[in-house]
Amino acid sequence: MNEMIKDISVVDYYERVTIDNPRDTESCIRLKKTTNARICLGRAGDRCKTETLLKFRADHGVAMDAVWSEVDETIVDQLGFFKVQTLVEDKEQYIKRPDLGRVFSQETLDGIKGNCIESPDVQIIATDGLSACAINANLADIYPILIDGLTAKGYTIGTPIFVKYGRVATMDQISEAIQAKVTILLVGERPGLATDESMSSYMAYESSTLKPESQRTVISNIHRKGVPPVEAGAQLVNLVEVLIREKKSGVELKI
Amino acid sequence: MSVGIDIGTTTTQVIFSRIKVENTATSFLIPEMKITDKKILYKSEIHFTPLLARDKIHLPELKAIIESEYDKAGIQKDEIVTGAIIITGETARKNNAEEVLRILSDFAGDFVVATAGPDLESILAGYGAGAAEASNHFTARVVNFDIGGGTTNGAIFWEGEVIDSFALDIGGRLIQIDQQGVICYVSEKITPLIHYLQLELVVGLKAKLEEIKALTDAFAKIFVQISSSEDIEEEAVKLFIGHSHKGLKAEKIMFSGGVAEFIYSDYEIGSMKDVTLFGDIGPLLGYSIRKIFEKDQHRLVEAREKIRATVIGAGSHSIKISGSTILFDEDLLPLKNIPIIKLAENEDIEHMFNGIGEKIKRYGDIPVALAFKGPKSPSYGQIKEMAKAIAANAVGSHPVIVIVENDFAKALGQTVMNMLNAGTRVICIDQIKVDNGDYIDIGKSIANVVPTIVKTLIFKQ
Repeated sequence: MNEMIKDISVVDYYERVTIDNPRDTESCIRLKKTTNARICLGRAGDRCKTETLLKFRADHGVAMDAVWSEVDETIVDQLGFFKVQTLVEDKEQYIKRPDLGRVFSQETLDGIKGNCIESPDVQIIATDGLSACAINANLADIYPILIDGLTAKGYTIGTPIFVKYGRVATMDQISEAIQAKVTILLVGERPGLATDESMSSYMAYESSTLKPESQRTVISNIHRKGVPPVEAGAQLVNLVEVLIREKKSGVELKI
Repeated sequence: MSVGIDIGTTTTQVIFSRIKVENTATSFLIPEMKITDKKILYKSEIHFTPLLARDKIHLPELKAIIESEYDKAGIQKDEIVTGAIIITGETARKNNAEEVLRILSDFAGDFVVATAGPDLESILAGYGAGAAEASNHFTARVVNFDIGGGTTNGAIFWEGEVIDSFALDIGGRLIQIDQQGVICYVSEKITPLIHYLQLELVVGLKAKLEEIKALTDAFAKIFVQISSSEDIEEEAVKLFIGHSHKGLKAEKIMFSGGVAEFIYSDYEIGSMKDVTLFGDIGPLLGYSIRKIFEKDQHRLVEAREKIRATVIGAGSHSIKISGSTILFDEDLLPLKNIPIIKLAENEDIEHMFNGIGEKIKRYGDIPVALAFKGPKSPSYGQIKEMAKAIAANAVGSHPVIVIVENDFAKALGQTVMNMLNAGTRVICIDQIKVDNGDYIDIGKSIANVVPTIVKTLIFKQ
């Protein structure tokens, strides 16, 4: 029989088999490790067990909370990010008006121009996107690796910018404002039922509002259980080299 | 194109295979290069290994055999990129093994393993026989016994990986019998067991079927005992070469090697004439094993390859591909026979690297590779600490070579490089598992990954 579970969020469900009296527990665990799907659960009559339902609800709850979460500003402050905000005024508006999450006011753009290094080789931007938790979990590891790598290669790096209530396209406006060669935007991915910490990195050569979405090269699935953030940082350094050498990005770049 | 050459106590074989490496990840993810296909293009005939004496290989004849197989396959030497020549069984312990490798080195590409210890041979034979796939297929521990002329190589697989390997002095040619049924050779390695069993198997005597069968039955019983994790008699334990097995129970059992051909067949033995088909005890050993497992049929799995298992393992399973995000210096590659210093895992990184400098010094002028598992997703702080320790232990003009199991080699390699003087070369690769006492060859890169061959040369404790 299954032992009592007190806190459902601390159990490793990649290994927990809830079938009653399984014939081969080891095989079940092996299967479970190969997928995020909820398998080897057992059942109560023709329905799922209470534990399965609770876990599903708990995961869904994490995803919902992630959307409404805020970036811990002490992290961006410590890393020396310059903070700006899109036209969005609060989380609710951010969800309802995707268009406003892509643009800045003229004052904000002037502020960026006035306070940030102009024409750097690489401009780094971080934004909450649909999961601030992803930024909280990964930024402190990926950012310094990225800086170390880029510095060692001799690239000039712009003042890092944190965008509150931002979407991916904010990188175009920022790039145009400060004339960066390569712009990297780190953004929280839409949370799923597997993790709320997954981050994507979008990057473009001479990122511009006039170019289509296909200008962007992306690495997704950056989190503890996916691509480790430090390894993604090192890989980004390589991609920056490629983008600068080829003077293009996105689908134009065949990598 | 990969070549496998297996020079055994009894037979010599060559195979050629084509190995395909592809990116298996979608375009929004970091590339993930994997071996996606291994196709055997050519299997040679099975030649008897040409011997001058029991302990000396006839070099020119061996060279002629290999040459003729290249010709028959229509393959040029320069098409070979990777592969392995292995000298196995009793032959490997012979003094002229090095000579053999010297005359054959022309036949292999830039990147070919040269020697094999019994453990590596066990592992390769297991892969070649298909035991790794079988362990996934049946979700079971699968043991493969590759029974050759001089030795038996055992390997246990679980989830497609080797979990134990060992070798025994059990083989089809440890006793040889002439046309008249007279014993003409008894290996000294099995004489203690023969005495223990109180058998009269002595050179010059006419061989009796019951006597030989008593011996092969005893061998067969050892295989049952090993796979069922039962106690083995003291006299039988002495047959292990170098070290014993770990005592893991295996649910499924597989046999490869020449003797296996008689296990999975219906060859019946009624008289001495049936035994002496090849002038040795191989057929009878196969028969004994088949009989002993008759009650336990469901545990017996037929090997995909039998007599060719080792050569196929050598030709197409010896290579492992590194992770895709790694750091290397193409000019330094290929690197051969790099000894491994494996660090004990420890939360405290400083502690983990304690005393490493001393160990590196022991190798003197030979560059070594530092290997460890490392955290699943290390923080920046941990990367810095590891890099600092590695950089502090860098030796003069030697390249820094680091092998980790988890996926962070690029981040670590880059950080190490930034800490060292310009000019010090760094190779940092991941998703490769090695152990203390192993040696590694790292080949030239293919599509940003490097092929590696991990060689287990030394007897493990």
